[in-house]
Amino acid sequence: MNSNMFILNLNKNKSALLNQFYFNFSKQIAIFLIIFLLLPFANVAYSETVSEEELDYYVSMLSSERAKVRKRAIIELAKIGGSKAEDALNDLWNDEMVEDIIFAIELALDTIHLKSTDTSTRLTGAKEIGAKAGTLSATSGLEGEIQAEELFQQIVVDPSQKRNVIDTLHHALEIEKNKKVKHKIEEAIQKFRLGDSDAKVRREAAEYFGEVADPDNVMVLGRALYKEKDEEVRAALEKAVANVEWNEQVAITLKQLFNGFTISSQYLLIALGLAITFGVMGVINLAHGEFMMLGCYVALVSQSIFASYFQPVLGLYWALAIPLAFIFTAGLGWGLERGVIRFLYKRPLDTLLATWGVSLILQQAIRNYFGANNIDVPSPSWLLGGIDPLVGLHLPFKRLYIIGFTICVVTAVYWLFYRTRFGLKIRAVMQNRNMANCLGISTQRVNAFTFALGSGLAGVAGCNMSLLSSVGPSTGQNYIVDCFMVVVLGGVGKIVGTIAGAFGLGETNAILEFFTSPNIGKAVAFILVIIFLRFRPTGFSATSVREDKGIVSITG
Amino acid sequence: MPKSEIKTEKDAKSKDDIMLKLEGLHLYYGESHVVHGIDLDLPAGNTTVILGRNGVGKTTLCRGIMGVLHNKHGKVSFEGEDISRLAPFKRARLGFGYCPQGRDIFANLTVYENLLVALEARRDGLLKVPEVVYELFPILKDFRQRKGGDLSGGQQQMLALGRAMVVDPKLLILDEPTEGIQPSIIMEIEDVIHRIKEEFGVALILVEQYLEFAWDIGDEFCIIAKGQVIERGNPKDVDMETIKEHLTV
Amino acid sequence: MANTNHEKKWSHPALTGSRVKEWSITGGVLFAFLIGIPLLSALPSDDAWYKISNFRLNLLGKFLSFAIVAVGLNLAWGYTGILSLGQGVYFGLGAYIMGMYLLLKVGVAGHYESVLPDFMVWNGLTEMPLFWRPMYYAAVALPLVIIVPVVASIGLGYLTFKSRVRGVYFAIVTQATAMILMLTLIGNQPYTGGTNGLNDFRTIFGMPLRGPDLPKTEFKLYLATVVILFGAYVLSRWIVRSKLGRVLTAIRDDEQRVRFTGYDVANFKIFIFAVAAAFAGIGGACFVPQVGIIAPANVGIVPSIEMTLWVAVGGRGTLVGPVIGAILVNSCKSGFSELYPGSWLYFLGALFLGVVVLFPQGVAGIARFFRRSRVGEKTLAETTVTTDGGKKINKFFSKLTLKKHKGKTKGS
Repeated sequence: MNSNMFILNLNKNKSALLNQFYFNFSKQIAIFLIIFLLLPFANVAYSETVSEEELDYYVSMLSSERAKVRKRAIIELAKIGGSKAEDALNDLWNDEMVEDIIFAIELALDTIHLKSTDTSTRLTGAKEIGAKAGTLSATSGLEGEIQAEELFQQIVVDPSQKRNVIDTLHHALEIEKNKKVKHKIEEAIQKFRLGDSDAKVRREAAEYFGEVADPDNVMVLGRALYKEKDEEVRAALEKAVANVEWNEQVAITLKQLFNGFTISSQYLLIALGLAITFGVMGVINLAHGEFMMLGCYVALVSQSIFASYFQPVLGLYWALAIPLAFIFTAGLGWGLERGVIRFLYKRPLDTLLATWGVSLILQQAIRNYFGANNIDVPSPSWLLGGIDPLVGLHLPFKRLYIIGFTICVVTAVYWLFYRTRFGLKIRAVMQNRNMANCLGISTQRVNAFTFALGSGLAGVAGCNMSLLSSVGPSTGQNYIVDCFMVVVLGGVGKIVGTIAGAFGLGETNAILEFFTSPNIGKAVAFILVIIFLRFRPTGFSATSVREDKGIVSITG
Repeated sequence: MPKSEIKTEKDAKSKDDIMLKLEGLHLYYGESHVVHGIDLDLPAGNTTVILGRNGVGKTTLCRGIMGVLHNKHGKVSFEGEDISRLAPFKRARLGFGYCPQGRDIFANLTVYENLLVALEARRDGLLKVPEVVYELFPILKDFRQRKGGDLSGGQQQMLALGRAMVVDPKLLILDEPTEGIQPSIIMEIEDVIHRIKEEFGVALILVEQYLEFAWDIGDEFCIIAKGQVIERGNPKDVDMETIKEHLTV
Repeated sequence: MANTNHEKKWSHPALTGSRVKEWSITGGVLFAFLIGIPLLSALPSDDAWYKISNFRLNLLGKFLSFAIVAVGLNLAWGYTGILSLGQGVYFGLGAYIMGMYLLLKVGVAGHYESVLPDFMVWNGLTEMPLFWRPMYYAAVALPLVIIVPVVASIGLGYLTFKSRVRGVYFAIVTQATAMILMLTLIGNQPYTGGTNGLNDFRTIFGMPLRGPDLPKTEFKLYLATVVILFGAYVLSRWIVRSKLGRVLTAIRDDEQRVRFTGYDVANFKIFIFAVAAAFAGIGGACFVPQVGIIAPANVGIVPSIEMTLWVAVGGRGTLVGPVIGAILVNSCKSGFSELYPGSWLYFLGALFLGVVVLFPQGVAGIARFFRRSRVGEKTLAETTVTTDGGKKINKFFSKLTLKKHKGKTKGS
């Protein structure tokens, strides 16, 4: 079981540490000397109520050869706190061999962190104490029951330090304003209580964890349950574990749906371009995926430009990448339409083959310039991290950004289509090309523009794709069939149809994937789309233009 | 209105000038050779009525004049310039209004949007639908927000005419404007066509099966058979009954 | 209407006759050549100029199994206008069934000395999966090579053609089927061998597929492939020149019109798509013993779309074209891969573009161009894929209307 994992790790470390002991002993003295020499300078910065002599005294005690003395010094330093104590403890931590003392140092450091003015430092402090409290409560057994022979395998914390930590926690809990930190502190306290000698306290703690139901605590609860003797506490712990597991299921399901949502957004961004060009011109661009792939590489290039020339504002490379990707791929799309596709409007099937040829050339070109391997594009720093709306459910900013970005783009496209004159022209051409032409609309220009727009959207989608996965010459091919199926499912002529298609396929895929495997899930989703086609050949957005130039009458 | 001033000025200046001239026009529909060398002169402001049985190439001729069909041989000139190679949208911008057979309304666009589309071809860069159109067809104003596809046949025909008028045409090509429309509306449409001819001085090419109306409005008629002009002349000089014999199957 | 003069032009007996004759001659020469090559090589003399190595012969055999696929695809695409970007599916089904049969023939001679194929053993299977069991028997496996692709293609045809999905839409749906098959094969590794596919065959019908006697087996397999290809060629020729073939061409040129004439277009399409699938399955079955492996990489999206290139390069809508195209493209491919490994994709891409934009009728079109310019007929510029059919359809429909009272001419 998991309960043994921690102990095993400690044992493994132990032999290595013992080997280093004698080697490090001399080093320890040297470090002590350095610290001693540096003390006068440090004094200037240090102005606390604690007398300096006291601090110096404890710092010097740290270098004692007797573990007990060191331990005592650590506890006192933790009480005093401050940067100097922290430095001293850090130095000791580098050299310390004895397991228990390392643990004590860490605990002391965390306690000091808990008093920091910086929120994130306090948060780490609280988290770390929580983790250690879990270890203590779950591995060191109930107080007073420790057998002599188990000493070597188990961490013993000095009761006074433990009291000190708990006191600090209580104190911190009172003055803490930040909710997240407060929560972590509370959790740490409860973890200590989980190891209390009083069964009632333990039960209360178990009930607390049952309510919080954070999947991160499942290991601690499991270990506690493993050695718990008291029936009532056992029942509370079992309930807590069950609660956590249920919550975990909910979180996983939500996470899967959320990931499906992200992928759907990507599908939408890519498929939108396809659906527009298919609606207007009746052709499908098989190189569309490669345009997306080029978008990925534009992000890569922008990132490396910023990394070498504008290092201080590296995170802003995104502001270059997005417009550049759009312009670059839109330009290529425009060139492709003017150079190849316009000669093939009467032969849409041949367009497929011609654009496939283009996609092969683009892939090989990328392979020659950037290599065949997949490359990770470092995401901008401001997109790292995420939010946790539920325990166990982490929503990364990257994915939230992709969803938000897609909403913006789709709104913009919608606005272009239904609120501008150019959109009106596109819709007119989509419905009746000849008549639109007879009313003064340059259908060729509309073709070129819509094709460029669609390709540009693919490029931007590629930029976003670099946030989700690494980038390679075949990135485009991995997604393109999905996007074709989105077009098939959503139909053409209406943006709403494409939206429905993208989310329909994306979520179906996510759900099926959850129950089977990624490969089989996708295969089944595609089969469902094909079966769906039997009943609604025009997809979700069946419009009255179908006989004119919709799906059904597009011929080769 | 400044527009009408320009019209009258032009009318006075070039009443007898040839506006549209077709010389030996050959048109193919897919693989079929449909129009075999048609010549036609149309002075500004005049109306030519094109007659013929079904399938003799009347609609094909209209499409050829508009440029939807590419003429392989022959020449089309407009106001003295060769426009044989010009795409339809460029012809529209020269002042060609076109009401095709079957009307070709954008069914999924609203009536208002249908009219807006045609602004593309305005020579003066006007950005809103001219009031004239609503004056000719008040119903279009009432139905502004309806989908083109929801209108009745007659209403669609009005919309098609109105849409062609948005272009501010010098030449209007009307392909069977009264086909399949209820009689009461036919009268209304005929009146408007008369007004378009008289008040706006627009030259018309009218394909029409309804002879009384054709005779009434036409300055010249032109009978087509097997893709060639077999007879032409002024309606006033010819007895309508003899023409009818030509046309009955 | 005005189609009278075209009718005259196209029903001109001398021209039509000479055209058919010329293609028959081309086909005859081609097959004589294909049979001749190995027979000459089998002659006892050493180092003659006409001898080709066993390696090359085997390679040509592989190309010819591709040619069988191409002949089928041409029936669907060239003659009926159904572009399938998923022909690899049917090729793959045929090939995998053949591969299963061959693997089961290995018996306990495999690495793990188990009745199960090796990959099943290391994937932890202890028992033969049910759908593998019938493949022990050639009498079951060989018909299944045709039946399974046919059933699959009818299923897809029913789902799409019946709801009038066609053209580009149908093409991308078929591309998705290629993806589906690939994902299924990779996702079910214990049953299909995953990305490695099926390989390491030992014998076929008692002939060794490894060891010193391999060239002899390869020689026989080559001859068998030529014979099967010839059969496919004759069958497709028969279909194309029958009344059924005329309906198919009419569907290609104007599906709507054929439907209005009273034909159930979907059934014709399903039929010809199934024939194409059957050919692809047979091609796959010929491929496996000659190449010795069948893997998802041979059946996915990329190989599927390359199959259309064979037809396009050879000349769609011509009988010999696909055979020539398959041999030509694949020879180029192996040649290029040997000489300039990096640039093959550039060449392939350029080939796709070039054949579509500049030479839509492929090699056959170029040949026709030279013949025409000799006779003083139409030039290549005027000859496009669609115009060619437009003439025929007019002629065809004038006949159809006369025969209408006899009912459908289906299956004649």
